[in-house]
Amino acid sequence: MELNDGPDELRDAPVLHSLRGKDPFVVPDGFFDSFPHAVQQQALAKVAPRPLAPWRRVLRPALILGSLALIAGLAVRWPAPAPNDTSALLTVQDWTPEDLVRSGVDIRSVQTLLGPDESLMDVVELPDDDHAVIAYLENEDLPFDLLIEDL
Amino acid sequence: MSDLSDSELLDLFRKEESRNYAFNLLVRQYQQRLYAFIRRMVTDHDEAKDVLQNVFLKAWTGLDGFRADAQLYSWLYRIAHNESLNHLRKMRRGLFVSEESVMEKLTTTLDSSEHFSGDAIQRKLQRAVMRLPDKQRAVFTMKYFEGMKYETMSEVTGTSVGALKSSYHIAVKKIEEWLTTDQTSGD
Repeated sequence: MELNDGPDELRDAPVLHSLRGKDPFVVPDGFFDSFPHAVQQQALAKVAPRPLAPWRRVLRPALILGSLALIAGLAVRWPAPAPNDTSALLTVQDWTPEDLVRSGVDIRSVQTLLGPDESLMDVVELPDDDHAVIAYLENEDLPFDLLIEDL
Repeated sequence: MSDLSDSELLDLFRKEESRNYAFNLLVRQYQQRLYAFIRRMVTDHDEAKDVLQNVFLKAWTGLDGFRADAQLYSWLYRIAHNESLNHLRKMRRGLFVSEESVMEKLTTTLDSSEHFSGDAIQRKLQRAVMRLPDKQRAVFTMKYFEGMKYETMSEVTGTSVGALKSSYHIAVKKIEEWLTTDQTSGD
């Protein structure tokens, strides 16, 4: 310890001067023997990672394996579509009025849904004259009997 | 076992295989002097033990960055000084009370402590020291009880030598006055 070797600053403090150098604080027996060990344990605990509890050591791999099994099961249950398999894809198809007639779709329902401005109305528009209609139908090679029945 | 020099301790600490051994030596080498300072600051043995433990734990994490041009003891003492002041601050915050109430708690600890062997005048001196503001108490303790040089105290506290001399002078005057009157007796 570096002791003060300057002028005595206690010359005007006789009571303090007389009490100097006495230490009234008592330390419990063996404190300084056990303290280094205790503090070292704490220091090492700060550095070393805490070991896993036994139940965690078992549970962690079990959880990982379980998760992997679940993912594998889901992959088998719902396979991804093959690159050439287009069945799962949604396709857009152009329909002509003839296609609609052939497929048995109710034309009036379609007309109602599409409204009067749709191009379908232009295609099926027929002249007023019966002969002209028959001539048109013959010319277009449409199922004449069915249409006659319908008219 | 003779004490190792600072550089010998640091060399041992920096080698992985002797790190724990060096730290153990360091604690053994400085624990008593640091404890004495801390105990005078916080009074109670258990609290002093906690503060001292924090000091060495901070030293453990900070020793790698310690520069060899500084004195190891001054560095450790600075940690002890700061930790003691922090402890007193926390104590005050925890109690939500004034300076006087903290002093009251410290004196009660002193009166009830089984680890205080001083006579009436020693008890009176400790009470007077407790009445000082925290920083001034630290200055008084370092100078009066530890006999530390002002230059070292300046390194520890980060305060100029002039300010330390002035603070110590005022503290001595106050305590002498309290010791020669009945203000701090309470016996």
